[in-house]
This record gives sequence, structure tokens and C-alpha cells, in this order.
Amino acid sequence: MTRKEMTNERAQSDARINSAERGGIGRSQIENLFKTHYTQMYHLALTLLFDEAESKDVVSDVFASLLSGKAAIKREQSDAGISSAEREQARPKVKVVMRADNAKAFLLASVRHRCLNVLQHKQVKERFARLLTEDTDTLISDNTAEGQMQMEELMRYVRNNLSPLEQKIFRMRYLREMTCQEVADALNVSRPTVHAHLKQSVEKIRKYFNSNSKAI
Amino acid sequence: MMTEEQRIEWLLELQDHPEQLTDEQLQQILADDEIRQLVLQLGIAKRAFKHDELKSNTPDVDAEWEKFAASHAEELDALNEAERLRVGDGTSGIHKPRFHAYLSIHKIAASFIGVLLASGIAFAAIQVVRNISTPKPQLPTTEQTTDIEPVTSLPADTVQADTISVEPYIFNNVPLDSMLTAIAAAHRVQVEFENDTARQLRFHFVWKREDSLTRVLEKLNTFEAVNIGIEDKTLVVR
Repeated sequence: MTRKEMTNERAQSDARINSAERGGIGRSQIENLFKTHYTQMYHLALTLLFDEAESKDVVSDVFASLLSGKAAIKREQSDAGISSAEREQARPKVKVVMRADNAKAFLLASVRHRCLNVLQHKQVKERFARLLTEDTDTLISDNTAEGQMQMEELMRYVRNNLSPLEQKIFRMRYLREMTCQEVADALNVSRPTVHAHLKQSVEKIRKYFNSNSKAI
Repeated sequence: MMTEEQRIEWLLELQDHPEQLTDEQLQQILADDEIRQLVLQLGIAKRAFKHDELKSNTPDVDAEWEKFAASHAEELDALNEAERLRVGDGTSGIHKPRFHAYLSIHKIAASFIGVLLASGIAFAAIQVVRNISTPKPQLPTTEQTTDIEPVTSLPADTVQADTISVEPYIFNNVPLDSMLTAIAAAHRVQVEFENDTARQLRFHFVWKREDSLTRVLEKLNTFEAVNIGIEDKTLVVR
């Protein structure tokens, strides 16, 4: 699927969610969903936005859209005894998106859509400097077990191949978003030293992706 | 033609000083497939590093729920009411297996109500039979019946409507930080902590949402170690 198709699909899905009717969901169900899935939704948002406040806002917005009726959770109605034509006629033009037994997947997909929207509204410069990847062609499928395994595999490689100092510098530079000079000051080393370690880390990570099937 | 090493060095420098680039220059840089791929790979590596740290970043879900519930109190109250009416209608059966545990409580309650109603009808029937079988002498009490009538003809939903009120919100062992964020959101004001240690103060507080903000602050300030003032639409914790 091309990036354009993916973007279209996302837009259509958003439209579907926005115009869906609210199903028969009550306060207790909202609370139950919130408390069951909040942590995983927040973690997914964090690995896309890297900002705690923005991530909390995204998760909160997903639940707010359930409350306002912009999205819905509904049990699949029993269609027994109804012909497909009747079913098609009875079905509203815009169908409620989520089934309760698939609530987790729906909520995580909603978080992902919102995060990608947030990223798309950021300046290219900010995305470039902060390594914010919003290109869906290459994103690891984050909310699946496979995606998690891919990230864990990469981290195993990092632990085995990057020195503790290289890992620390990468974290400070990219996760804490400090400049090379700030990292140098914090570690009491020179800026070229930080730069050299960072360069080595990037070369190793590049090597990981370029080896065999890891190429993207 | 740049070597791989040069490309990485160049990228690291550019990322350290993005303000020196114009948008056009950046677009040109990212048009280079090799550079774009390198940026994406580093982005994924950043996500993997973040994923690795998540175990140590567990949100306080209960506190987040309190904040969410307080800032969407009206919508949740409306849902609560709709939910209660649905249960009354007997349409709660359309809910899914996920909420069976929750529904079973209502089913038990409904069964009890059913048993009580059945007993009531049986009792009334016995009374009617008794009254018919042992007719009492007619007493001139016509005025009494008119006194009773308004009570019996009161529609059920009138009582229901009277009971819909803004229920107090109970913060149970919730950090002051979350508590004030919720209260401030409801009153559309900001919160500022001059005293950071006060953020994590936890206590039990009953928030009557119909109280004015001044009244809520008065109540909060009765707690020792809490000193909240209001300055220009901002709650200031000192």
C-alpha cells in the first residue's frame, strides 16, 4: 500500500469515527475501558510523540470522542433470520466502528490515528530535529506483538553492540532531546567527544537495519 | 558524492542546529533517499529506546481517570442517567459479554424488584378478595380518598427527576496536583504550584460541584499544609 493510500484510508477512517453514532455505552463501561486500556494507549502515544503531556491529551481525546458520540462501541447485533439486503437497508450509512470484543484494537488504532494527525501538524523542521517518524510506510506495526518483538530485537542488538556510554549519549541526545553541547556539559566531556560517540552509535544502528531483512 | 560516514556527520550537525536551515533547504535534504532513510531508521531506533523505557513510566491510571471524569462530569452524568433508564427498560440485555459481571448485579437487583412486585401484587390480591368477601359498612369518608389520590397518581419519573442532582465528587487519596487540575478545569482557571512538594499531598476530599470556587478553596485550605490562593484566574499553591 502506498503512503497516499494509507493517508486516504486514515482520513476515511477518521470520517467514519467522527460521524458514527454513539452506541449503548454507559459511564461504567467508559470507566472500565479507561482503566483497562489507559496504560497501553498512553505507552503507544509516547512511542510516537515522545511527550507525556501530548500523549495524555491524545488518550483523553479518544475517550472524550466516545463520550461526545463521535466514536462508538457497540455490540454486534444479531443478524440471524435477516436477509443480507434487509440487513444492508437497516444498517445506518455510517456504521459504528467498534465492537466491544475488539475494544482494545479500536482504542489503540484511535490513539495511533490521533498521534499521526498530531505529527502531521508539526513543522517539518521539528519532525526532522526530534526524529518524529510519521511515515506510515515504514512504521513498525507498533500495537502488535510482532511490532513489539521488532523493537525488543533492536534493543537487544543495541545492548550487545553499543557501549553503555554510547547508549547513554543516544538517550540524552534523542530521548531527552539535549543538544550535543548540553550532553557534553552534563557528562563533562568535549562536544567533539559526544559527536564521535553519537556517530558510532548511528553507524551501528544503520548497520543493523542494512543487514539482511532489516532494511526498510 | 558523499560517503556514508560524511552523510552521518552532516546529518548529526544539521539535527543539532535545525534553526539554521530554511524549510526549502530541509525539503531538498530530505529529498535525498539515503538521508531520508537514515532519518527514518534513527526515528525507529528512538522509538525502540522509548519502548524500552516504558516499564519505568507507568501512569497513575486512577488519578488520570479522576481528572478525566471531573473534566467530563456532565457528559458522564448524562450517560449514567441513560444507563439507569436503559436498565429500567430491561434493554440492558443488549450489552456484551465483557460487561456481564457488571450486568449480573443489575439482573440480581431486577430479580429482587420482580419478586417484591409479585409479592406486592399477591398481597394486594388477597386484600381485594378479603374486602369483597367481608364487605365493610360504608363510612362517610369520601373526603379522605381525595387526600390520598395525589400521592398515588404521582408519575414515577417525577421522583426520578427530583433525584437528578449534581452528586458530590469524592477524591479518595488523590494527589493535590490531580485534584486541582480537575477542579480548575471545571471552573476554567489555571493551576500554578509555587510549592512543588504540595503536588504529591494526598488526602480525601469531597468536592461539591455546586459550590463556588471560593467555597471549594476555603474547604481545601482547612487542611493543614495546604495554602491555595487565586490570582487572576490562576490557582496558586504556596
